[in-house]
Amino acid sequence: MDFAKPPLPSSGPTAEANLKLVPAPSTVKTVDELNIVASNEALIAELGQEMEGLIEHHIPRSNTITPNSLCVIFSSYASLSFVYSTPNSIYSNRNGVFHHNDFIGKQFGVKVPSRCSDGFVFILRPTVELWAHSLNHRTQICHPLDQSVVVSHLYLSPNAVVLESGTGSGAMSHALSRAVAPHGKVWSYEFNHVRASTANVEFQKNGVSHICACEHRDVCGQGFGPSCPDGTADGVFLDLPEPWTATAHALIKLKGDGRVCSYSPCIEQTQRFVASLEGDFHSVSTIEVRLKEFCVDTGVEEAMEVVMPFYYGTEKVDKKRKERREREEKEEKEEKEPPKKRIRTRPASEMRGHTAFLTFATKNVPLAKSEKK
Amino acid sequence: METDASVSTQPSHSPSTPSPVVREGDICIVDFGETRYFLRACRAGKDNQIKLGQKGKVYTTGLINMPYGAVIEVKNSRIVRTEDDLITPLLNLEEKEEEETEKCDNRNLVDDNKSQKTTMDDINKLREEGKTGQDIVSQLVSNSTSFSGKTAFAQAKYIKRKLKKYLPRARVLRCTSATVCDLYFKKDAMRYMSLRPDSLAQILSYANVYAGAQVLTFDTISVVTASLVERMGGYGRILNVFSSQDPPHKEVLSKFNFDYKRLDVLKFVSAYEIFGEGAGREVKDLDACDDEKQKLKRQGWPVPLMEHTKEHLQNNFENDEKRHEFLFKRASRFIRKLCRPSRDESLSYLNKKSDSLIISTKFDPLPILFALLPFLAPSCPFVVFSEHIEPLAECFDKLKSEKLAIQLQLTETWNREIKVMPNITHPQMTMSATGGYILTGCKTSDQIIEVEKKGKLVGKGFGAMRSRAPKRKLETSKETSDGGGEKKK
Repeated sequence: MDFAKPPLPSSGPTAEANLKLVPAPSTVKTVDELNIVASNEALIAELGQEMEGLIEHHIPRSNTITPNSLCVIFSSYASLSFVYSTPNSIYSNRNGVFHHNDFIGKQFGVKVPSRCSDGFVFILRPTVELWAHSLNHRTQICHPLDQSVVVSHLYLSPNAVVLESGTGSGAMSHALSRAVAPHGKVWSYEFNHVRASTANVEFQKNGVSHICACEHRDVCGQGFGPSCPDGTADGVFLDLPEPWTATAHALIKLKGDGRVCSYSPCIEQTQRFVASLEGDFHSVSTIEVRLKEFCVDTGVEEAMEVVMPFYYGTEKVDKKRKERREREEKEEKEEKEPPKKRIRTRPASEMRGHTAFLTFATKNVPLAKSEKK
Repeated sequence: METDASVSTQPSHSPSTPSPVVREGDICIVDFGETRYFLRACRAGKDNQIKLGQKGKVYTTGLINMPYGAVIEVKNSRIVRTEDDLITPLLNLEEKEEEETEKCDNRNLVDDNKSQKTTMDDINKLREEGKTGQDIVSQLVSNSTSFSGKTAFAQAKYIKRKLKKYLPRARVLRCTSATVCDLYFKKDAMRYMSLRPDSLAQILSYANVYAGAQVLTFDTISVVTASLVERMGGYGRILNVFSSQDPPHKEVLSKFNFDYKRLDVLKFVSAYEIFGEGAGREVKDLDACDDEKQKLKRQGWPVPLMEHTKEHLQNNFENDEKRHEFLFKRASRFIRKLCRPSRDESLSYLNKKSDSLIISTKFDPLPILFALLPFLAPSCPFVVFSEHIEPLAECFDKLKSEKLAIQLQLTETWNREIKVMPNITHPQMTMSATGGYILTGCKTSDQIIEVEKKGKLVGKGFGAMRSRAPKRKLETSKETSDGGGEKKK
């Protein structure tokens, strides 16, 4: 995936401006000398102390599909899968038969027609969200909405260190990796050795293995292991059947003011986890987020023709009314514009009612010895 | 411009890890529970006194070097860290009759406002005596006739409420996208277009924002841009198209305490320069503008003083201090001008195509989306955020009918807070009803692939197959079986 590639240095407007501190004169007498002093101060105020070497870094986008690249295949909304492009091989699904040679060398986002039917698929560049939709579920996965909320509430930023347990299908590992790339680290632990090795193979194939590593280990029983030194983790994400047994282990690895998150489907798990946080963590909050999807319908609304019958009045009045109505109707018809298309929305008929309760907490900052009494 | 040299190593450009303490000049959030403030930690000065609770005015000097997460209180007009680091300190209650077995409820409660025997005068007296908030609350508890009749939870709640009044304590929080957005949302949701923290989280995720990407945005909420800067961590580029007079977001950006390395990713692009009407005339003016930057560059650094500037300095300023101030402002202006991309540079960034597009604006998103979509690379995600659903429905419809995007999704999020306590876990009584609507999608490529169709078409729709379909002798790749499975909702 693109986020895992190394950022390449390039110059930018700031580097090209070539701004430097100028040695200031020992005594300031003339306005020119004053200008030098003021300019130096302004430089520090605007750009900070390290104004030299402000080079930009960018990750070039992979535009074309090359052999062995991960491609997400879009057959229809909610029906996504993936392949690693291999020359001379074939991918088939209910939309038809698709030859890899047809799309290798083309742009990502291209529409590929089937060779033997009128069906088609789109080949997309993988992102964390598309991966979560297309990957093979080995376990229940953490969905993009929960992923985004977890990443945001763990306060993760590039180059952070985060621990995860268990790895499961690796959907969350990818989301965490994107947040801490390029030089951060995700240490992921999984107690099922088959899932652990499969996850590592996937990380390797998707090019994120230098950020995210999966280890076969039972965190609840053995703790988080030595890969991440104690007191250095910025965040811990727990997706375990018994998260409260890992609280103490998380506490050891976390920095002061580090964040912990537990993803538990059941409220009993959440209750026991919250109870285990007592004393060592503060700002405990539990939330639940659901995605409500909307359908957009377009078309012309059919207006009901209402014709009011006249029950009263003399024949004469009735006649007059009738005439007027006919006249009005005639005018109306002439004036009537073509029916306008209206865009309407309605909630999708079904939604995911529950995934998990997300509990967040911050580790207490230990009091310095001088502050204790 | 890209120098495809060696792969960058970490130390050359790794932004410093966030400081564990509040540095001088930094802004932090001070959380009193219901109310939260932004406070800037600075040395005592003329007008940086702030009012906190009922304790009168205090300087924020005490916040300097305060670790994030610490609990503070005001003591002798100074902000200090508490000794126990608890928002609700423990009380030394005199009577501790453990009658837990007896079930308490409110069957005997008479709500006549007479259960509290302590009067306001007593409290004022205690205050004058210099008693702490803890003592006052203990007094209140022992003088309340109804306290012992309450359940343990009700007692805890009572103490908490009283402590908040007599012993206001607050926690120092770091300004991150989640905390800042939460503060704004709770303070004035309408002003920030009902952008709830979970919506912001989704915008950043669905737009595939990562360190090193090029993100194109049109944002009038400011929090989105600031969060982008945070998420990019000093790598990549944010092209912020703006329509106002000056580059926006200054106030919100200042809350995050970014250093220049991080802020440098943010490039402002004036919508008028790039998309403005009467482009011919504008181009001419802007060429002149570019020339100005070139001229400035040629003059070298520090920019030498012109004769008329010198004269102005000599004649119109009383002393060197004022002159210094003038020159400082002048130099800052030049620095900003030199470090800002010129129009040509902005255009070249735009034409490189961006990795994602984010639109979060109070304006009609439809024309903005269609003006910026050509600058998004194919197979890249875009996110449009709005307070209202109708503008997004229009965008949805147009994108769909013009076949510009796939995987379109129009959503709203439902966010419920849950109070977790032993035996009385329940959702909060009030919850936020909306956090805004989000439209996401993925732009498709206009490249066309022609394949040789074999056989005659039989059947209809996707299921239609060619009659003489090639025999499935061709080896089916392993990946096919990998990716083919799992059709989920």
